[in-house]
Amino acid sequence: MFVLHANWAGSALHLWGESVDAARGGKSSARSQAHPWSTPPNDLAKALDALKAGLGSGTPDTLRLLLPHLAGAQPQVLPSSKLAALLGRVNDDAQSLTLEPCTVSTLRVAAPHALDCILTLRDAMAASSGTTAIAAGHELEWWYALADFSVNAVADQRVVPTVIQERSGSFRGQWRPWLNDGETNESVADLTASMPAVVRAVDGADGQAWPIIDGFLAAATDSLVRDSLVAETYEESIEACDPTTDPHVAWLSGLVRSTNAIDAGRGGAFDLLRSARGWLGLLDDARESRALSLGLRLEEPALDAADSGIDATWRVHFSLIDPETNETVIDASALFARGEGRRRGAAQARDEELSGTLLQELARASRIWTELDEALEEECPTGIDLDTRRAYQFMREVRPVLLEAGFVVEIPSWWGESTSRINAHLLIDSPDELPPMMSQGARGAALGGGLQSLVGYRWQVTLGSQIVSVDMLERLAANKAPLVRIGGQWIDLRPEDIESALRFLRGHPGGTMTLIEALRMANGIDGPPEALPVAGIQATGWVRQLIAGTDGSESFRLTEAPEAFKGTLRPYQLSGLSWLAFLDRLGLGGCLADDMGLGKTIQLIALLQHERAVSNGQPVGPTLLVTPMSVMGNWRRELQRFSPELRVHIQHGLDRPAGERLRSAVESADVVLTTYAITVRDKDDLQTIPWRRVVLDEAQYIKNPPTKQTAAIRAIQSQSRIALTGTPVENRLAELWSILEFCCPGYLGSQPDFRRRFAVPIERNRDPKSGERLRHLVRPFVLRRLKTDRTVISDLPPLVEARQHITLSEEQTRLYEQVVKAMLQQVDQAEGIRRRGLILSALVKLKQICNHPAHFLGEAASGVPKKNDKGSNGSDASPSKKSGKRTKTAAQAPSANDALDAIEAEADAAGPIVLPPDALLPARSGKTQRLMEMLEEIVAAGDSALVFTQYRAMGHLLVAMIRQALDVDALFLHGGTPQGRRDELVERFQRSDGSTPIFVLSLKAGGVGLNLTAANHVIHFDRWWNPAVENQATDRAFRIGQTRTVNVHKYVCTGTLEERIDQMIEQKTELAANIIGAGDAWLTELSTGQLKDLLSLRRTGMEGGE
Amino acid sequence: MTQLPDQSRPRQPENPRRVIGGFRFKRKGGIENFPWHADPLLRSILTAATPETAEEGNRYAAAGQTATMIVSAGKVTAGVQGRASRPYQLEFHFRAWTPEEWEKLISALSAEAQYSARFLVDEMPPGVATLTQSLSLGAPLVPSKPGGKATNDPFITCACGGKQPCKHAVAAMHILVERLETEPLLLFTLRGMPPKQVIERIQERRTLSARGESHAHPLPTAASDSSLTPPLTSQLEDFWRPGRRLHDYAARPAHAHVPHALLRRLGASPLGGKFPLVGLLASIYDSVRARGLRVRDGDPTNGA
Repeated sequence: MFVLHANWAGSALHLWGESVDAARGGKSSARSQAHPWSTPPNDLAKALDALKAGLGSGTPDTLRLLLPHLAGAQPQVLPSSKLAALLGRVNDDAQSLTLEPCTVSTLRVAAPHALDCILTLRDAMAASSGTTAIAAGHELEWWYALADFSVNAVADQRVVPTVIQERSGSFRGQWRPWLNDGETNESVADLTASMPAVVRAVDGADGQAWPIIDGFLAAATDSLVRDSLVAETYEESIEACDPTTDPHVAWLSGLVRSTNAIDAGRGGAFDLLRSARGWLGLLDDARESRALSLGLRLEEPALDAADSGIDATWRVHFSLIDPETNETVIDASALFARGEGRRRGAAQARDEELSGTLLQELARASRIWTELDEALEEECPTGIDLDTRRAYQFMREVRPVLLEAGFVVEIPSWWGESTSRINAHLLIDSPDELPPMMSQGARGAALGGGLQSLVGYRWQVTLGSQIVSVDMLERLAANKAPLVRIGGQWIDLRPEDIESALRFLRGHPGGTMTLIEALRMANGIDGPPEALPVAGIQATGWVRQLIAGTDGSESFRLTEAPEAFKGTLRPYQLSGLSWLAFLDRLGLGGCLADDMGLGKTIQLIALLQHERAVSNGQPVGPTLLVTPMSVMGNWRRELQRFSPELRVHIQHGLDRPAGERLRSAVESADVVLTTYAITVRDKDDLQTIPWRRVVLDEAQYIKNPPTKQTAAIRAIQSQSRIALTGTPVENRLAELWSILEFCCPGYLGSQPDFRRRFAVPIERNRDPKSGERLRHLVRPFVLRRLKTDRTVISDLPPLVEARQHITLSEEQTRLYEQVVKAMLQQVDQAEGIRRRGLILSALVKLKQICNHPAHFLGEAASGVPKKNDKGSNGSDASPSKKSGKRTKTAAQAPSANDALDAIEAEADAAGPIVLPPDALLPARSGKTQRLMEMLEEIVAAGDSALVFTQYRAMGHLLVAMIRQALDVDALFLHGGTPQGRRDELVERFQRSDGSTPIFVLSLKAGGVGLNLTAANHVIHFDRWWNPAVENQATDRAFRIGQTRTVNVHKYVCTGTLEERIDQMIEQKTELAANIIGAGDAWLTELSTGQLKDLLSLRRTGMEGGE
Repeated sequence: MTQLPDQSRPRQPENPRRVIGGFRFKRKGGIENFPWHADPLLRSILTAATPETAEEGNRYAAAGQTATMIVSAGKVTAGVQGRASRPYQLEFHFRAWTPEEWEKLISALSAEAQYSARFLVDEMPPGVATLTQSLSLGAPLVPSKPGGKATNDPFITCACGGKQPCKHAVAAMHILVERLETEPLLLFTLRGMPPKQVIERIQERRTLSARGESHAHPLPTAASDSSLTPPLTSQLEDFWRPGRRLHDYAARPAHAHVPHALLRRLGASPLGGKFPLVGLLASIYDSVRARGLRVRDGDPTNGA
């Protein structure tokens, strides 16, 4: 296994790797300055070839790079960020870094193959989906973007031929992207500014970005263009010509052949270089700032003109425009008319200058639009008359080029509007009432019944706002005018459009089709193969409601939450419920993708309650709710709180029912709560039950390519399916497909089809039209509200606090019970200070177990992992064997703050901390698993979060885990962070450019004083039994300067002392008064019985079992 | 004794016909003390001619008999008025350096800044003559072998048909050398390349050595914007990940495709070739677009 990197140096691409095992073994190199973990070229080539044949065919070479090292007498090279994530390595902030040279072994890929290599690598990596021994270095993403840029330049014809004289004096031809136009120049600036430092860290390259970008882009463009010209034998067209006498032939000789040498005498080639420079320089003119530029305004024929057909007179008026303000300085007609009035002196000189500029600009424009030559033959050119055909050509073909060249072109506003073209509309007739089969929600109805239901449809062709018949189209076709005026409005009549419209209307008389076909067709996906643009869908009745989504479901809008629902729904939640209920009645599934914190859970619970309220006493089938283990507790609690009358069965734990017992348990339940893992394990039973509905929480778990888990879930029979997720699905196309394939099978087509039609155009080509079509297509089935939406924001208070009830993992459960048992035994026989020590020590252990087993087992605390006793094999994880150090530290902690200090200092390991791979498994702890899920949503939504923990060791663990699981570098501030570094961290976080969305802080060091308003989520990962301290920490984000709603998430492990104490504080019990402000000392005063009551794990049937 | 004019032939005047506005050799020092870069040319033609011819040529020059003179690459054309009704047309053909010889010279001249500095103020440093010698070019900087044979430098032809150098050639040479005295770079023209082009090529050459290459395309402003790339040492903590602006880049909508936009903006080629370059480029652009679209949609690039 190695991490793959790419550099461009010496006109070649270099691939190199960092071997993970060598790095983990801490191998250091004997030779100085040789990279200690550099993958041998042979291994590199073998793995690359295994990934894709031929990919490893580079030549072994070496490359000297300047890489970050840990400063010291013997600087040590640091792993790349990707390698550090794989190793679970965290750097200690305090150690300073230096830039040192370091030589890596590489495979050198020659320039002509560089583009192919990057593209092949990207596709092969995507296809292998993690099955390869290669992990992509973080900078590869940038290389992929650069490769796409060059492919797009070629596909969009934004390349130019150039001539280059090399140092040796010889000349060659080259194809390169044209980068000097405004937008492209900006893109190049983006790519330059975002270039990862390592890419320009080639020793001797002086950290320059441009030569690398230039070198790669030129190589990529040239190879792509040249290959296709050679393949199409363009060489033959100049074969018979003499390059030494004709500069055109000389240039082409370096452009269309597989070799790039220019065959012309030296002097000839030199002249070629100079005149080519002059010619290409003309392109650069557009960028040059001009004081005035030519404006061309096309005026359409007057409404009362005698002829409004092919011979109508259009006129282009000339003017001079100030390019800064886009305001007209003077019209040409006014300028020349003034000249006749014989102005004197300065005014006349000024006018002469203006007319000089006008003529110059006209001459410049005439190179693009040769019709202007005609105007230049006049003495005072003020404009040019065009017939309809030429006016059409002007708008369609000439205008875009003139605009690019920096001229100002104004044309009638109807041009380019879809209403000025021929369009097809799909008309669907459906009744207002829902089809009876669906509204019953009866058992036995098939999944996706709604999508398969037949709807009546017909097609209509419109010209502007007019519906046109076949007859009329035939007349227009005979007329052959590219533009016609109909009812006062000009219509852009491309002959090909009329042809397709005719063919289309003749071939599609209408009829019935399924709703899924209709929706796909209306969005231009399936269906009419003719190229007629489908402008959209018009529908009546319920289909109309469906298409309009939440906006249109007015007549189905619920005005209040169901009676039995014990809570209040905010207006947007009510509208979400209406939408869910509406889809449900149609037998359709959907994805509720509201931002985190907007209450997806309660909207779904309200739906369950609602369907029972409207069933008129008919029994409603059970809903299967599949969630990650970490949020199961939360669901249970919320169900209980908001809909206590719903009967919940929890299908979890070792003693969960199976077979007949399970069926009868389901029979008498409204909701069956289970996890993704159990769903796979119990799939045979679950698949035989006819579910009313399957709901997936955190639906991004349904991944692609399909896993066993995905297959098992899809095989469960139900009438409808709902997915809940907080990630911005519309931007994650693979995820969107997987989720909709679950909710509305078949709707987005097959995966390869979807990829070709949407994912590639949107993600690689950045095609806004495809994006727009996809949004329209999914709108009926995906509802996503953001916290920042205007309709939502007014409903939200500035601070939203919620507890996250976390379920312990099996390992945590076992460790927890062992510690409690051992403590209770020992406490009984101890007294005084020893008893107090035992209690406090156990307390710390229990809190650590709730955090993560690795925290408790000390895996995080030392540079070298302890014996790998993660507890799955049981007894040697006995807590009593753990060091007395912690006991002592805790026992010496009389006050809250001192206790925090002590806890903080607990893991004071110097240098980088390398964690064993197991320590970083978020799934070993309910809390960390939930944290990763939440942070993933937070990062994906562009939000940012503070994560508070009391323990520095836990902080390290979290940072490493976040790096590994989310591939994000979290900031970390703790008691050992020097002051300067603190300021820097705060500054980086507050910069809020989104590069560091997660800030882990120790409660002690980060709980006071800092201003961290860039965060809109505050997560209290473990609890300090003092609301004041917690609130103070929360106030880092919730303070003046905060403009968004702050969501506070307090983690509580269900059934543990965390929950018990949390409840006591909530209920303001007498005991609570003692707890607050006293650290943990009060606990030591409790009797053994009380201790047992407080600390023992209360099982809920949800622990472990996974 | 006087002789009656021969009525059957046009009258041949004793003295050449007067020329109004001809080039007159009126140098103060006469033919003495010409600088090194001009002197050999005059001296050699005076030596090669008979003393009478030399004498007469000198007189012609002083009298302004040279009616026209055009200096072009490798060649000087002059019209010298003698006794006939029209000026005799004569040509000096200088031996031009071959493109390869020029390349050698320019490469050598670009190695030292002094040369282009001098050239820019119209001076010919003596080092150039040494340089041409040491590069063993086919001809020295200053020509000094005038005569009527093709191997001469310059090889002289004159409409008078007399033995070369004739008096007309001597007269014209006086005028050329007088001009050379103040325009020493004209020597380059005589060897085949106008001084302006020599200077340009030297500069081109110097850029080439400084930058590694010289090219016809202009660079985008982003190329020289050093504010885009902070020093590497300030990025030690974030050394491997792409910067945030990669997202800005990805969020930019694609450029709307305008067919052949760049080609149409370029317009007709000013290169002066006969081959229909723009036409071929148009079909090239169509081919590469088709190819680019295929690659963009995931076809392998090496499908050729």
